[in-house]
Amino acid sequence: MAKIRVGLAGEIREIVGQKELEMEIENATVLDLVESMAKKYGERFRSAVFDESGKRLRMIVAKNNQEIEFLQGLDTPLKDGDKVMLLPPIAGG
Amino acid sequence: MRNPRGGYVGKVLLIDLNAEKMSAEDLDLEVARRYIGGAGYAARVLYDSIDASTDPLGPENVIVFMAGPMVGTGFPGTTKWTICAKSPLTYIWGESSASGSFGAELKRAGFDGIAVSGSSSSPVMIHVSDGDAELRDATGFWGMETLATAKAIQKELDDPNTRVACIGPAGERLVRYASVVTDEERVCGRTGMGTVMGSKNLKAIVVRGTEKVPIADEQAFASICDKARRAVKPPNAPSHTSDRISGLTAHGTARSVESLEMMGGLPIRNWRQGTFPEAAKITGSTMSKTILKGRGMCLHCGIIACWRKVKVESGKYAPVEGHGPEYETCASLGSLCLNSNLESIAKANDICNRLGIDTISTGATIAFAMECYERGILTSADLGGIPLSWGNDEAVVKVVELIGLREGIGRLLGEGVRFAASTMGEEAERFAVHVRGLEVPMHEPRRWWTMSLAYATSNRGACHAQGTPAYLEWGLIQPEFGYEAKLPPFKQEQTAQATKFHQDFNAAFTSMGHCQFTVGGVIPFNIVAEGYSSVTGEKVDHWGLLQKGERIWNMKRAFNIKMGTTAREDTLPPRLLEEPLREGAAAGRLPPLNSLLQEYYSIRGWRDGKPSREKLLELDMEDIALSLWAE
Repeated sequence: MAKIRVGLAGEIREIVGQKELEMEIENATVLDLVESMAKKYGERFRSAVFDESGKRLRMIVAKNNQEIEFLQGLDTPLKDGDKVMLLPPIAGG
Repeated sequence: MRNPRGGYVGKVLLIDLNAEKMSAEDLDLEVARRYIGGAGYAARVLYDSIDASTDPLGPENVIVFMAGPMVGTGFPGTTKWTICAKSPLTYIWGESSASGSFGAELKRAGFDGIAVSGSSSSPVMIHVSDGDAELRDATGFWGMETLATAKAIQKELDDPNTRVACIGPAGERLVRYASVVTDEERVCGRTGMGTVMGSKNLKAIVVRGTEKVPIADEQAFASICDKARRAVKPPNAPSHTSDRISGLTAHGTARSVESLEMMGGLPIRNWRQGTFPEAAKITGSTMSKTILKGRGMCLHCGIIACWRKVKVESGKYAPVEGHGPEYETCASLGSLCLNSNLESIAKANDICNRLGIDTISTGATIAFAMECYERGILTSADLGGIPLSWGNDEAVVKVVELIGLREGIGRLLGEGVRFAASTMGEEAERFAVHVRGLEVPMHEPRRWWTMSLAYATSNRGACHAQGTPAYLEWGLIQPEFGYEAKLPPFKQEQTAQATKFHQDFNAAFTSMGHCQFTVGGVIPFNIVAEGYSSVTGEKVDHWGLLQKGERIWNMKRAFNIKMGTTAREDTLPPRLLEEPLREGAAAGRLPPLNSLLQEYYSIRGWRDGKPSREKLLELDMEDIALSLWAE
């Protein structure tokens, strides 16, 4: 099993109740990880992470500090020791 | 029937405080058409009346209050009004905008702008009501805080709907980054426009009126307003738009604090540190759960409602009640000082607004002073016994007050980072983080490389509002201009072009009077252009508006060249240019600024940082070409 560290911010951190956690998952992609977390943390987590279509992420998702748009998107593979961040989008200020 | 001056009420009020004279002149509609209005119009006018020898705090400086053509029309998100003058902080182009109702009321009172020269021998305010203007004695308001001043003026005039823009004690005492604050607590913070008002003994501008802003094609306008509102609502709105709106509505601009920290984009400890584990304590969602008491929106917003209303009812920072801190403030008075106490940030924000100082320059100067204290350059004796150590929230609040009152160490820190560092020697100048004298705002240029170029080339010194190309790195895209996907990080490709684009884009929409939150990745700009055309009667598409923005950008650059600036100042401070962060998502990264600059100049059609004669002619700026390139 691969151990994936997950960093969370904003409302998604509040839903999960912690800023960092570790997920164990095998042969997984980013989508597998997020789906696995959605099962664990329920509907609030799912609706915070996915839009109404259920297919598009509302959050910034990064693996090892690289946003997944510049990797393989939701199909980005994960391996033991990777760190994934789920962050609210930046709105400016 | 089309109105030939749609968008403009057609008058500018000129006031000479030396002679106590005022006159209402016709707005130059040709200049307005070419430079849009607002700050663009002001740049063209001030180019002729200010030069390198003008003392920003002397009577010869001219301060202009302008509202662009969309302000007061009711088009969504069009409330921005602007103050421009030569800046006492930077000695170049000074400009600061605010939202709220003041700009629309200025136009209802019968003027697109007010230009003030000279200096009064005693405190005065300018009262404009339905086309009439008078200078009134303001001695009784001198020394009062901003919000108290506004209330007292409204009471004296027996009109709670009179709109007031005024200075507080900081502007009166010439703190170099004094702000101008309205009765709605909206703030023109940057570049010391409140200081210029203070130097003229001008306490307030007060406006009230009933005139309707003329609209060239009312029928088309109503239809386009509806189209704009529909475009931002699901299911019409693209995902990046709905994400932006929902985030700002729910948690305000400060929502981004935590995400930016985790992405390496939050300035921390005077730009020395790449991570801040306590960022969650000062982020927008935490504010929502703790001190938030309400939300609000500008006149004619109807889309976002980004205002925060906060209240601190108990504890050492009580009482605080008013507007909540924005992202920039949570970072400048928070992470930049390693301060994770949200109530102290709300208190410091409240003091800044009441005394009338810019929260960005204030926080940045305190962070600079903290590093001076750490290094022994400033001692406890210099600080009047205040232990200005990193993260000391009580010390932050105390020093904010001293700056605003220009007392104790506030006399030095009220000069801003550049002037303060110049009295301390070379060591301090290496960590004095400013560009052209303006303290750098809160977006880390070692993480967002577009911002490195934006800061280095901004016409008012380091600025996040006169071009925020980082929007394109954050996914706030503009498909109508070909930016259909997020820009990749840490890549030189597209950076110069995107920076130029966003600067021209911002110059256009700010001069029109649009709020950046409603156009940056929200209302598509082709719809915004349709709105502009229906208001002014000038048929122009979004590319045409972008070209007007380019003209405005070159105009402000020409102003700065007249003030004596050169390409040598198109740079970043050593800390941001030479010192990589050691931790966090931007660790080890430095923007390739010199290379970016050469590409930028080439794209802009500039020679050594100066708009070429050919570029100026291409932009229909023959008068400026003749002036800049006179042999």
